[in-house]
Amino acid sequence: MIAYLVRRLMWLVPTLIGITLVVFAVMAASPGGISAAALVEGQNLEPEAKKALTDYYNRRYGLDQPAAVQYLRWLNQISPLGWEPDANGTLSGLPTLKRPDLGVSFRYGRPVIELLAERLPVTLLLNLFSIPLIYLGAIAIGVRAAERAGGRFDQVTSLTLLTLWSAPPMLVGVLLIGLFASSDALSWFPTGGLSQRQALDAPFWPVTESLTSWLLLWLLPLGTMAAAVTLGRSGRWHWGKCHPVVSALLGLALGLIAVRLFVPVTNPGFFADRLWHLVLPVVTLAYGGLAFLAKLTRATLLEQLASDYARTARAKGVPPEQILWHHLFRNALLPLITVASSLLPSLIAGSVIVETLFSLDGMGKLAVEAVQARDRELILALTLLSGFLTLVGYLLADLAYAIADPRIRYE
Amino acid sequence: MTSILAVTGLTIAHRGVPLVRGIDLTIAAGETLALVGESGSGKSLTAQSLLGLLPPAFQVSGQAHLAGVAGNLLDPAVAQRVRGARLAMIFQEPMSALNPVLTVGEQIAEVLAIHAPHLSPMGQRQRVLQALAEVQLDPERIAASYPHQLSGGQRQRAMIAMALVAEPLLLVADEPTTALDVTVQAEVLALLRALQQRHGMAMLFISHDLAVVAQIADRIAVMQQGAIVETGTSADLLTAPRHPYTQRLLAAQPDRLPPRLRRAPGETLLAAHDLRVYFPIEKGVWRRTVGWVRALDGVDISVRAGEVVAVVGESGSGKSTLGRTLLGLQPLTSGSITLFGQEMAAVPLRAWRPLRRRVQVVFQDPFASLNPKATIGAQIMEPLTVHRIGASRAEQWALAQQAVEAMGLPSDTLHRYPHQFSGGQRQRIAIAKALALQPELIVCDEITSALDVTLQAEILQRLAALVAEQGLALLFITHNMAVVRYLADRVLVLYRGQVVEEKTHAELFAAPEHPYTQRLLAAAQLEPV
Amino acid sequence: MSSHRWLLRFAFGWLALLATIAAWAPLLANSFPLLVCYEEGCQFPAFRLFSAVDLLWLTGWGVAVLLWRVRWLWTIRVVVACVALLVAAGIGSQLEPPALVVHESWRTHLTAQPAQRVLWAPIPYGPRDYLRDFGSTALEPPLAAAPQRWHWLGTDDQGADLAARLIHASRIALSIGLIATGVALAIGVVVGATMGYFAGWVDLIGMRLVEIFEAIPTLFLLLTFVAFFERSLPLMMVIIGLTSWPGYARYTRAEFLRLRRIEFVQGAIAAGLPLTSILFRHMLPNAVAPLAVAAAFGVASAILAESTLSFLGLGLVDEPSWGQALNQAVKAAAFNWWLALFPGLAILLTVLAYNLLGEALRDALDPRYREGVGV
Repeated sequence: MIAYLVRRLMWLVPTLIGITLVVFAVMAASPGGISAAALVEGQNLEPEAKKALTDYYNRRYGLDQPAAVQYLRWLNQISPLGWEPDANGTLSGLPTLKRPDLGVSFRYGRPVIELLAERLPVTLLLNLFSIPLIYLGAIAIGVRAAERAGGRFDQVTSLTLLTLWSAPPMLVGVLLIGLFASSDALSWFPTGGLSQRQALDAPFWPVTESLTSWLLLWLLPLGTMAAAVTLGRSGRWHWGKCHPVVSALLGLALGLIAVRLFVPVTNPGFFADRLWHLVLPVVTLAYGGLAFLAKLTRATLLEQLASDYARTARAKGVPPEQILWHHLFRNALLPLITVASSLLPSLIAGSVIVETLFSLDGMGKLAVEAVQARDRELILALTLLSGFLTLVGYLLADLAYAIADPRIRYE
Repeated sequence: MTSILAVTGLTIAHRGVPLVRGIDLTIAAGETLALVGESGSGKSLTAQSLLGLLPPAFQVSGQAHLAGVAGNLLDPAVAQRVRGARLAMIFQEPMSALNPVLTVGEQIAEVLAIHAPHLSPMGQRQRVLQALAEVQLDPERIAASYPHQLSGGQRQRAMIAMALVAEPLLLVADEPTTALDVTVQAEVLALLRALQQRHGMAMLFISHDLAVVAQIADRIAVMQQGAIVETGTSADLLTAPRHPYTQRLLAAQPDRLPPRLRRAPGETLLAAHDLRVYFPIEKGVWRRTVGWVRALDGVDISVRAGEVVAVVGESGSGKSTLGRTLLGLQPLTSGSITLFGQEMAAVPLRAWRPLRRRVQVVFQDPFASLNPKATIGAQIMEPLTVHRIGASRAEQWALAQQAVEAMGLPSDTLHRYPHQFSGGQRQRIAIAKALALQPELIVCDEITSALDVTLQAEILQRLAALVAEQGLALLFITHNMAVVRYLADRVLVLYRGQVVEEKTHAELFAAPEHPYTQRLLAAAQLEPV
Repeated sequence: MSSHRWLLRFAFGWLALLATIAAWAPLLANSFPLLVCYEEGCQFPAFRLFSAVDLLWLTGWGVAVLLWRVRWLWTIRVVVACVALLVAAGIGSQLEPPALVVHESWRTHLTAQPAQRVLWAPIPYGPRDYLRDFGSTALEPPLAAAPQRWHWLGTDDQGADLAARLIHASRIALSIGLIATGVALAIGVVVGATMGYFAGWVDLIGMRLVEIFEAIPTLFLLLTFVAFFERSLPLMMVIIGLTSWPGYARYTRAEFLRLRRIEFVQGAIAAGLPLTSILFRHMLPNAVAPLAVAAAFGVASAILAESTLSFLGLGLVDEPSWGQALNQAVKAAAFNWWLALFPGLAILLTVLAYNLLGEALRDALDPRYREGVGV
């Protein structure tokens, strides 16, 4: 297994180079290419001013050189081992260890790395909240649908999931804003942004007036969670038994809503405000992946239900619940993990739309702006970063798969 | 003798279509009852229904009583309580029957956790190790292994351990040795017999192979199309069967077939010398070749016209590799192959084309042998067109029609698609396809291993007739010694890529020299000639 | 399950409806009347605006309807379709629709000189008719301007009738979906089949290529393409196709690797059949199943990709598009629900229809899931 992982890591760098090469090739092959002229022509300037600007760009970013040279210079720039350019921009001598430099953005005039450092956390925050939501929701729904295949739950969720999966994120986001965040309809959530102005100065946790309110703030969600778990395990309500994790989360959500509605709070605090702003964007980002994964879970589980080893487990007298979780689910996880590798890239793409819709200053929005401004440095850096994140996602998924499947582990 | 299991009127229907009608069975304590039948007889369904393992689409009715258990075993609630504890089952394919992500020890311990909850984890572990030792496996190592790390025989023994660890009254064994090599099969059967005697357990043994059943059963019940046609003690049934179907089954056993006509062999069609096929083992980060798998390690073989050469071996012997290599489908590492006088070893695939008509191949798996997307007629006629046999399409059609009808297929076969035929019929089509080209040599790679014994007998006899009448030569790859005795002129025994013995059929069965051959013959338990 | 059949009928029905709307678009929504009769005689103003593309769409639709009903051999059907389309292209090249269209012209003309008989299109506004003669008509909710003007779905932020724009945008949605997937399939199948059949180092290099293209965040590549190249319809189709071929390559490769080892292919090689026959008669027809399923889903995602690009303001400039209309819904300050709902629904239903098709294909080709087994 170690050998397998080392081999995968070794392919990381060439693949990254390949990705950036493709994107660079697209830029270079376009009409206008990556030349200073393309950057300058839109602006309303005197011919001399244009010439001066063109010269400046050429000198600063080396845009008058042929595409291949530009790419190689960029590679040299970002690599930790390479040549340091001198004042005129020429390279000489031997390669040394140097600081990788992602360059300066045309559009913003600031170092790319600063821009990325600002914008990346937002995108990561969105994705970090989305991924657990997707997986937990998908497993809960998928397992339930597979257990009672053909039943009412299955039929209803089947159609709903398919519709959700087909719904474009733009539509869903816009509808969510229109229904839940606009002043015309329900105004439960903010329309955009990451925090309110005041929240940036506020304390982290919510501030309450009295001790009872403070206790209620913390105990109410815990109480609803506990109640939900007990209710789920006893199976005494309409939908029968429920897995403790699912009922705990549902209980928590209920508790948080109750707290929002009933507990008086003087200052919601930074944390709560941030969460509140994140609800709609995360839902918009996650619903598509959840729908897809839920359907996949159901299909995989049905496949496992019909397998030989499930029959053996039944023949041993293992109770159905245990067969489901101890045997079937462990095997169904394998294809789910494989799919996980494609989840991260789709989330990164989805961030573009969500960030645009909800005016969140993340990487996706930055990408759109970079592309509109034909900003070479920024585009390449963003491609590198998202390519890297994608490849890391693949690698993590492969690692998880190798751990979960003993047939790979002992190759 | 108290009866452990009493079944009356067991009927199984699938969406209204009855598949098993009115089965009555009794099994006494310590007795082995074998349920014998060909594919489609319903024997596997019967076995699974006793444990309540059939999907809801099947409707099961009737009465089944297990000693010491109140209620009808066919009632799901009763079955759920009893499964694994009083009644256990082992299956045919040990690889897919074991959970690939859990260790063997965990899977066996699970049985104890459910049916013997009073045991502490230490006690459970003791019992697991004990059970593994009883089936002659190394307890510590096997308990910590995953199924894919074990051989087929080891997996089946682990399954047996898992079934017996809760000390059931009755063990239902559904073709447990069918997927195993002959030598391993003999060991597993011996093991089952020993365990049964030690525990005083009753056994319901399902099989299609009368030869296997003869070794292990006290009583035999023969099933045909969902009904039991004859029951009797093993001795009675095998020597003096009463029902015509049983008689047919026995007569179709390869060692009971009338001896075939043998002719003097003609010129050498195929000769291979010092054939070696090595596959590299690549390990480590750089995929360095650390060693070689020697699939074929210096094999000499020749086939003459009118002769049947049998290649006998078990899994891992290299017999399939041999077949493919001799056809040019597998590049060889070194050695020479002379086909119809031409040296073929270093020659590119294209150069084989002119010789292709004269040597054909038939494979083991009838479901993978035909192109699902083309009609039978198109598939048979295409090689005819390529090799320019038949002056016109009409003539080619007539030739194809002749070929399929000679194999006993219906006259509209050429218009149909493979999925409209059963496995046995597809194998007939595959053979017809090979024969339509009128080849001089046919490579048969385990062609009857997946077939019912009656169809096997028919095909063997047809091939024997072709060999005798037309001087057809066969390279017959198999693991079934009874078939070898009937069909082969010369026999090569292959073990780990090497020929350990090569004799005429008479010499081999009279006086086998190599210990491996002796083991093979002992395992086959053929009746003396 | 009967619900499956229902859903499949819906999918086919919606796609057929969409194709009909797309083919008949110029006659369904047009600022020029279909028929105007004076004493001197009759004219057909709407037909003056017909271009070669319109003619091709109508011919294609007509041919599809005709050949659906008629029971001819597939090869004959394909030949007839090609001939019809070629003839239509020939006739179409002779058409010269006017370069500049003044949409109000007939409206003002008819108010000045009323005619004896006038037949308008069901929606008497073209997609690029910004209704200047009515003043500012931007962002009107549906039926807000009735009874003067009937805008069933409201107007967009330029003042054009939304229904007209959505109808004409259906052409883009349909054609981009099918052609982009076609491009991706062509590339993917060729690369995948080559990798799967020859294996060895061809496979090694091919897989690295596939991995690189797969790892490129698709939207990124699309964004880069559309930003740097001019935005024309054919180019967009090719670009979307270029970003989705890796999936098809993987499926084809996997199937070919499997089929290479399977007995009937080995038997075909052993029977001395030529390579072309082995590839095209034996391997390819058996590799189609997962490809067909993937293609159905691929069309759905191509349509989504185009809508996303239009939504981000990076789509086609002049042509109406569903995504573009959605974009307008968020640009303004107030929530213009009709600009979100109707285009969004159109996208949703179309994508849903293709996804349903994909699911139906998958179930048909892999019947394992049909029976519930129970735990």
